[in-house]
Amino acid sequence: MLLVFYGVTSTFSQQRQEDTIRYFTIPTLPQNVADVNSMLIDTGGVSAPKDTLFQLLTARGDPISYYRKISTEVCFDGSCRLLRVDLYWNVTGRYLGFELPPKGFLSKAEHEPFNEQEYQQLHAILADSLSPIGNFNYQNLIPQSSAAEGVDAVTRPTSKDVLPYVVKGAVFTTHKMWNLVYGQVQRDVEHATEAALNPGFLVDMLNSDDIWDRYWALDRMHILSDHPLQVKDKVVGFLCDSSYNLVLHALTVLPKDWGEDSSFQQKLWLAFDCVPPALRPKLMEKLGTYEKLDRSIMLDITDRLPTMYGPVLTAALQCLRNYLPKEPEILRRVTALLDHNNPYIAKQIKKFLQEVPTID
Amino acid sequence: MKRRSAIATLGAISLGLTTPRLLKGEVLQGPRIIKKEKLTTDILVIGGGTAGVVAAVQAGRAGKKTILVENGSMLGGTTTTGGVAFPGIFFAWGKQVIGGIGWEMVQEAVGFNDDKLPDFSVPHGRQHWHHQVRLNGPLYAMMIEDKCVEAGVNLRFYETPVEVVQHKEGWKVTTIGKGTKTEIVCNQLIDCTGNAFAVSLAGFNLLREKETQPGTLMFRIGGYSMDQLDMNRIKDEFNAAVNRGDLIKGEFLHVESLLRNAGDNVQHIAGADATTSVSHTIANINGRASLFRTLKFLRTLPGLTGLKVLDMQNETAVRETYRIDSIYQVTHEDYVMGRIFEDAVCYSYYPIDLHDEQGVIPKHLEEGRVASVPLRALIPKGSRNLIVAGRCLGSDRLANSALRVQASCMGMGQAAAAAAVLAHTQGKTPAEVAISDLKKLLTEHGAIVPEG
Repeated sequence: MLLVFYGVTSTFSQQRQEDTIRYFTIPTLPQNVADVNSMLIDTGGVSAPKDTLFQLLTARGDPISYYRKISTEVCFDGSCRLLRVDLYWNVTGRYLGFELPPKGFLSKAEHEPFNEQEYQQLHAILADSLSPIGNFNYQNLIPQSSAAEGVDAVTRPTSKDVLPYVVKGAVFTTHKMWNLVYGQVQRDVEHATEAALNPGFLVDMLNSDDIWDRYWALDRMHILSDHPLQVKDKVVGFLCDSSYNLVLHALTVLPKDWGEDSSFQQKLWLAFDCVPPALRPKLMEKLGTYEKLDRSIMLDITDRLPTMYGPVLTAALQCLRNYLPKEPEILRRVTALLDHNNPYIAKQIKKFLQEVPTID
Repeated sequence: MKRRSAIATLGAISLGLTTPRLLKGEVLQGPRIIKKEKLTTDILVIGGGTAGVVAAVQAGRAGKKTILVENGSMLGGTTTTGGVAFPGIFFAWGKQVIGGIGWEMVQEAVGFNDDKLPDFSVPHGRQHWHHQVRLNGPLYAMMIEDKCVEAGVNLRFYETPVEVVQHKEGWKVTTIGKGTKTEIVCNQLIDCTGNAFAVSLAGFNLLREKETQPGTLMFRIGGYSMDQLDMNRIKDEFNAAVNRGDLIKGEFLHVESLLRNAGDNVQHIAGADATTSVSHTIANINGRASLFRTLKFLRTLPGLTGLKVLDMQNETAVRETYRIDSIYQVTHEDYVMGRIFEDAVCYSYYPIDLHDEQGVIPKHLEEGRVASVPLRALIPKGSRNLIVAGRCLGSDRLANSALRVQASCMGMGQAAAAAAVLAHTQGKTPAEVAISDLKKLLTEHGAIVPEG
C-alpha cells in the first residue's frame, strides 16, 4: 500500500490530500521508491524500547528517504493523549515531512482540531533545525505556578518565552514532534545512509539544492577511499559559490591526496580569483600542503606577490617556503621584492627570506 | 633674584645633604621631568577601538608611516575592554558583506581558539545574534596588537589628545600620557575615538541627542541554578525593591533575563558617556554601583544566596555619544531602504537597534536589503585631511543605532584609512580622492566594496 501511495504521489508538496493530512518539503533526492528496508532501532523509551525505521530505496538500492510510524503519548495537566503520526527524513537526516493516519488529525487544547494555518506553522517549525523550541525542556513549556495559586485549570497558559516557537494551544505536541524529528532517530538515519554511501550516491547529494545536504556530503567524503572526477570537479566548483560557509567547508575537507595530481592543483589555482577574498589565504595554505607543487603555479604565485597584502601575502610566502630551496629562480624573484616601495611588503619579504632554509 | 638664588643654593645644599646612600644595584633617579617629544607621521589614528585598529593596520599595510594613540591599556575598545566580544554582522542574506582586515582578525581569533563560526547560510530570522561571532576577548586583544606591530604601526597607549590644530603638513596633535607630552604632526588624521573627540578639538561642531542610548557594564554571574528558583517570587521582590527605590528602575529591565543570561549584556546605564575622563568615570562608577547594589539585593532571596560575580569588565561599554556634522548624514530611510551610494565605501547590516528605557526591540531589515556607508558620512563638513570611522559617523539617530555595531565600524575603519592613504599619496584631502581609486585599494586589501 505504501509503494502504491508513493507511486501515485511522486511529487511532494504542502498539500492536504483528501482524507490524509500530509506536509512535506522538497526532498534531497527524487522519491522513486522501488523497495523498502525495515531497520530495528532503539527508541530510548521504557514501554516500547524498539521500533522500526523504514528505509525507502531506489531500484539501485540507494536510500532516498526514511520514515517512522510514531505512536506515542503527549501528556499535560495530568492527562495524556495519543499522538499518531508518520515522520519522514531525507537521506541526510533533514526533516522531510509528516503524514497523519487516514482521517486522522492533530488537536490543540480542549480537543480543537488544527486548522490549515496551524498545520503549516507546525510544518515550518519542524523544518527549522535551529528552532529555539529545542532549547526548552518539558518543564519549561508552561510557567510554574507558585504555591499560593491553585492548580485548577484544564489548560494552563503557555510560557510566553516559548509561544513564538510553537503552535498556540499545542505546545506539548509541537515540542514532542520537534524532539522526535531531531532526536536519536535523526542520527540513526545518518548512520544508515553512511553505511550505504557510494560515489554515485555522493554525487547526488553534492548536487542537492539544499546546502545542508552538501555540507553533509562534504563531511562524509572521507568514508570513500576513491573519488571519481565528477566528485572532485563538484567540490572545486563549490569554491566559487557565493556561500562563504560552503566554500570554507569545501576548502577544509579537501583530501590531501587529491593534490598529488597536477591537473587538480591547476583547477584549484584557477579558482583562486573567484574564491571569496577572506578565504584566499586558506586556498593558498592548501596548495602549500602538497608535497610537490606544479612549477607553473609557483611562478604564478611569485609574480602576483606584489599585488598581495596581509594574510594572502603571508600565506603565499608560506606556500612558497616549502619549495624555495630547490627553486633558485623563484627565490631570485622573491628577493627582488626587497626593494618594494611599500615598506610593509619589503619587511614581510625580508622576514620571510630570513626564515627560508638554505641549501647545503 | 639674590634671594631666589640663595634659596636655590640652600635647596641644592640640602639635597646634597639628603642624597641617599645607594645600596648595591640601586640607581638614583632624579625628579621626573615630563618627556616632551615631537613626532611626524603620515597618518595618525586616534582611538584604538574596533574601528581604529583596523584603520591603523590598513594604513600600515599600505606602506604609510602610522601612529595609533589609545587612551587605555589595550586595543579593541568595546570588543575587548568593553567586553562586548561578539562582533557582527558580517553576512547578510547568506553573503558576506563586510570582509577585509576586520574579518581577517575575527576569523583568525575564532580559528586560534578552536571555536566555530556561525553558519551564515542559515537565515538568522529574528535572532540576528546567531550571526554574531563570539570571540575570546583577551585573545582578540593580543591578536590585533600583533597585527598592528606586524603592520609597522607605532602604538602609544595611555595617551589622549588635548589639542588639535591645523599645520602646514596637515594637523598637529598634542597628546599627554603618563609622563609624556607629545606633539604629533601628521598629514592625515583619523578620529576613531567613537566620540568624535579629535574632531571636536579640531574646532568642528558635533551633534548629539538630548537622550542617548544607555551603556552596559558586561559581567557574568553564577552560583545559582535556574530550575531551583521561584521566579515569580523573585520578580515580585525585585519589582518591589525598584518601587521602594532600593534599586534603580531601568538598570535591569527584567530580573529573569538577568538571571537567565547570567549577566550577559543585560544592564542599561542611562547617559553613559565615554568622551572625557569625567564622563567615563561617572559611567563606570554607575555601572559598577548598579551591579553591586543588585547583587546585594539578589543575595537576600531564596536560591540566590550563593550568587557570585564570576567576571566583570573594566569599563561600562558605551553605545552612543556624539556624531560629526558630516558632509552627508545617513538617514533612517537610507538605511532601511538599503540605499547604495555612489561613494559607498562599505556595507552595514544590522537591525535598527535603539536601546531605551523600555529595552530594545530590534527592527529587522526587509529581505535582501543591505545598507551602505558613503565616504561623505565620514568627513566633517568643511574639514581637510580629517576623517572619522566608527559610531560617530554622520547619521540620524535611528540609522546610527544600526551603523554603530562592530562589524560596520571595522568596515568604516578600513575605508577611512584607505581614503587617508590615498589622500596622503596624492596630496589631497579624503573627500577629493577618486572613489574608483578608493574602491580599488580597498578590494586589494580584501575589503568588500558596494557597487554603486
